[in-house]
Amino acid sequence: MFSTQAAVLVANVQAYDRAKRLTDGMREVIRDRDVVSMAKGFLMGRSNLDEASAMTVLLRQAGRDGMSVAAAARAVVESAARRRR
Amino acid sequence: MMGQAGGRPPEDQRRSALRAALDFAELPLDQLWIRYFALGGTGDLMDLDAHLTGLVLLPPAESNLLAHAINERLDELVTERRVPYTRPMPLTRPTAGPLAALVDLLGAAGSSPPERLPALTASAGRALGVDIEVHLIDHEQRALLRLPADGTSSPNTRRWTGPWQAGRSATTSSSRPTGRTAHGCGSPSSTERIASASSRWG
Repeated sequence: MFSTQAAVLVANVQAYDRAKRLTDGMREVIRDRDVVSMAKGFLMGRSNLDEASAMTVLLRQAGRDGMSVAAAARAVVESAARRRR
Repeated sequence: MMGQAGGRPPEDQRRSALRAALDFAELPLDQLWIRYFALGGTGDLMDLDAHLTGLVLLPPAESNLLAHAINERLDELVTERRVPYTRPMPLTRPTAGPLAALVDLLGAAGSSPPERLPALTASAGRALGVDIEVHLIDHEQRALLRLPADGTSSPNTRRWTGPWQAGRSATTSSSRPTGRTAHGCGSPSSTERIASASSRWG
């Protein structure tokens, strides 16, 4: 009887752990996607681009500076935030 | 959907490169989708699968995102395996000529306070062999104020820091010996202002 309850408890902890890992991963992915979207929007507004061209600009910046697109997007968003101050 | 301009790799070739890269990177399809999704991709896992097998192709923009997702993974793999040098190799940068002047100017202007701008443009001008004057438009956009070449000591200084901080300013640079003139309407970031002023240089 007691061992069954213990097994359920362990299974629950494992399921919770898996879910937490998945959530953490997805949170990061969605945050990256958010930043990329923001950067695209900023570039579209600033340089009068459509979405695909804004993405091309981001890809080019990432390639030129040897960084990931998320990092390039973060740089764009940060520069936009600085500019508003 | 797949109209291709000349010079780009044909779609088949690109797709087989994509599949080869995927094998090389040992990236499962779901991991690839997560990376592609993080970049803003809108296709789902089925779309990716269909694209890789050639059944239904993604639109060009999405297909570029997918290519970039896998390329970023390839870059990561290469970076992890790079052999370190015994001492850091200097990055090659131009040391003379117009390009060096521009590189120095753009590099320095981004992180410099506005007071440093006259000195920066002056040194860039020396490397270019020209005198550069920077003019700023006042807040009401009525008058051009010349930025004093020696920097901070002029009474004009106080007048031009105002519009600068308010974020409405523009520069006009003129180079005397060659007679060429560059105009630019700027925004508050000094890097961008210089970039817009110099983009029509030659």
